[in-house]
Amino acid sequence: MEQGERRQSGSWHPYLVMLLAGVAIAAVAALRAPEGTATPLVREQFWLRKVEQPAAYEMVLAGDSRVLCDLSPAVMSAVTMRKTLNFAFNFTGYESRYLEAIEAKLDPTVPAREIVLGITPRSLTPLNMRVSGFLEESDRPASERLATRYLGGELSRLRPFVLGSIAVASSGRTSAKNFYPDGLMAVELNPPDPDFDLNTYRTIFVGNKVSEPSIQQLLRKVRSWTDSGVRVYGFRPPVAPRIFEAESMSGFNEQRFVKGFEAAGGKWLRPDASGVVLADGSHVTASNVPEFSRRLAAAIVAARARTGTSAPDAMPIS
Amino acid sequence: MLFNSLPFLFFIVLFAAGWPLARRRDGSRWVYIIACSLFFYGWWNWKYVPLLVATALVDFAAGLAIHVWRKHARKFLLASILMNLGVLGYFKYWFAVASAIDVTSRQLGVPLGLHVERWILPVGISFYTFQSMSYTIDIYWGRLTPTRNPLHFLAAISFFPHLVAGPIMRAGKLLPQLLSGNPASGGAKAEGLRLLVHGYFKKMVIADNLSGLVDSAFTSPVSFHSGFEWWVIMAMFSMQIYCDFSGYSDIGRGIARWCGYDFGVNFRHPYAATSIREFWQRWHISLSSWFRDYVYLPLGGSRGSEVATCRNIAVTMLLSAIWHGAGLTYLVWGALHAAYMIAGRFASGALAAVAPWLRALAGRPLLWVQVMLAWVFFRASSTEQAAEIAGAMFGMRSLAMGLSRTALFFLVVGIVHEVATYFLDRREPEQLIRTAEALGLAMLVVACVFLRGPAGAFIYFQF
Repeated sequence: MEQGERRQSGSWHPYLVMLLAGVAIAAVAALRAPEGTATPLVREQFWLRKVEQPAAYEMVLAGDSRVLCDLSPAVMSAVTMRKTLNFAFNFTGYESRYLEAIEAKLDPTVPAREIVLGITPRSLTPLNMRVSGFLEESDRPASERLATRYLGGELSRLRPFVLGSIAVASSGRTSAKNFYPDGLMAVELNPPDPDFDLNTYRTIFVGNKVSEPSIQQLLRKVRSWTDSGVRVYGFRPPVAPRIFEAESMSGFNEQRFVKGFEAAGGKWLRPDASGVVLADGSHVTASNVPEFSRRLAAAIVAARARTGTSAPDAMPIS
Repeated sequence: MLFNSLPFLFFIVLFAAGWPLARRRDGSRWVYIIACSLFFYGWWNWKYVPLLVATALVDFAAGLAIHVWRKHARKFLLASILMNLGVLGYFKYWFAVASAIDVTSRQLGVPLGLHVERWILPVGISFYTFQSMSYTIDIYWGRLTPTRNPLHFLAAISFFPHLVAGPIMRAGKLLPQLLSGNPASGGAKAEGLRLLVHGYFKKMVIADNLSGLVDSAFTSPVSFHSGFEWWVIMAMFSMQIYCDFSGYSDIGRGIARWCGYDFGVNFRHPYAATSIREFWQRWHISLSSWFRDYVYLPLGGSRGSEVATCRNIAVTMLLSAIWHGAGLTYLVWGALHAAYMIAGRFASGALAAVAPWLRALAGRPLLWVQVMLAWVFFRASSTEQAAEIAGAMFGMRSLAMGLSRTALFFLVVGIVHEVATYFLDRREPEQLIRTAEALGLAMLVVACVFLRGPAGAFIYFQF
């Protein structure tokens, strides 16, 4: 209280109010449950680590959340014998900056370099070109990166609550996300619900169709990669039948795309997804990720063998 | 630097640590304010710091010249106004105007080949040029004696709590306050804390949580939403822009209160107004009073005939629209408000005579409809999109409702917060904080941390 003033009884000094707020924030932060339990990596550190990965990989997995959550580099590298990075991001489209960044993660000094692209209709729409998890994470201000690097764990406790997940919890379901250093974000929803994401897929393509210029841009890039000796594989990540049906609203013509993709030098893979459990209808549930990753890796090894360029170090599927 | 960013948190802590020492001595106070404010401004883009300093110094010199050489005062005033409007026009309007000329000339078959380069708009330029202009105009009118110290003027213009998005502080109001280095009283600090907490809550919890749905609605095809949904979306945008802008003003005012200065109220619960005229007495008060004092009244205000008054209203509202931006959408927004005000002038008199109760009953709902319709043009990317949305709103072909429940929740939170503060603001501003309020403020701070939306820039930064 300043000179000449006397605090009235029962009134609070502003500093005391700030202290009270600070204590309340600390209490909520201390009491909140961690987001995942499988790894010590928190979400913010996970994204920063992913964006800042060096050019040190022989195989890069790219795409939107359906690659991000479906593929384990650890499992795949054991099968393909390639040092692998999951470089996928939420709601990401194959725009030019992302395509450049994928290439920049490959180690230029090794001869056997491979890129695996998860192709979803959504990743070829104008919305994902514009509003992209990759762009969001890449464009984070330096101050935020600095804070994440040094205070990531502590700051993650101050992350805002997502009201949507409170609604999920109140419906009797449990959900979890685990962030792995190799770029996999494993998701769980218990019990799984194949129609959980259906409404999103029914609305996302209204006025937001698959864009031909985006496809052409991607195919040109595939051509330039294959011309420079990089093997490029494409596949369509698994999805629940009703969501697959909803995706038809996007105008995506898979047959035509595959034709163009293979004409550009890429290899289209059709990994066996039978029996793979999807958490929310469009992402493989955490416990099934190793199996699906193994099947995709096997398909890659088989493709190498078919083209007669099978790497001598490739291992049979375990 | 954004008020809602991590660097600002460090900046304000360091500023607050140095302020008690700097404020005591006259020389150090001015230097400290200027140095911190220019650092705050330069954090965004240091290349525009010289522009800010140069325009301020030109107006400082013009102010002195007007005062000393009264015979040539008009010339100096004109030079100052032309410089300010020239800078503003170059950065804010040249691209749009030159593009339009270029396109037209090509269509007419006489291509002028204008070199159209789009500059980054210096943040806050519309605010600080208006502040600067009011200084020279007030000196010309004899309402203000110029300061003889350029540091004083530069500090008043660049003081960071109002620099980039207002309130538009007139030098005549701020300069005398900055002369004092007295510490803030306990009451002032209590008021400052209230302003800071409510300001951050409005910005981070309400505005930022509504922005996602509003942005997505305006980037999707209009037909994607039903007519009823468009009304709700516009209610959300009305809440978002109010909480965003008034939140920024409150944070700036709160910081100033802690420094011992008073910026005055910039928003006084505008949606509680019962007429458009009253709305403009409550919305962005520092800008509307600027236009009133420097445009509307010099044009003759309401002293002339009805026709002249209507013309003055229209000119003022259209200039206010142009201040916001060069687009046709802003012009339509201003024209709509002018039309509302002119219609209101005639209707309110007639209504008061026939059924005074009707105005009290229907005033607010009518105002909300008018304001929401005008916001459609303010927010839309083109007049075509705005017309389509307005058509959907009034066509009401569908009553379907499928908007995100989270966004609806934050709209309700915004309404509850606005009603609560409407009644709370009736007390003395400098009233000390009681226990119940202390708990409430602490809860709002907790909400700012754990319910904050995706951090976005303040809407009015673009102006």
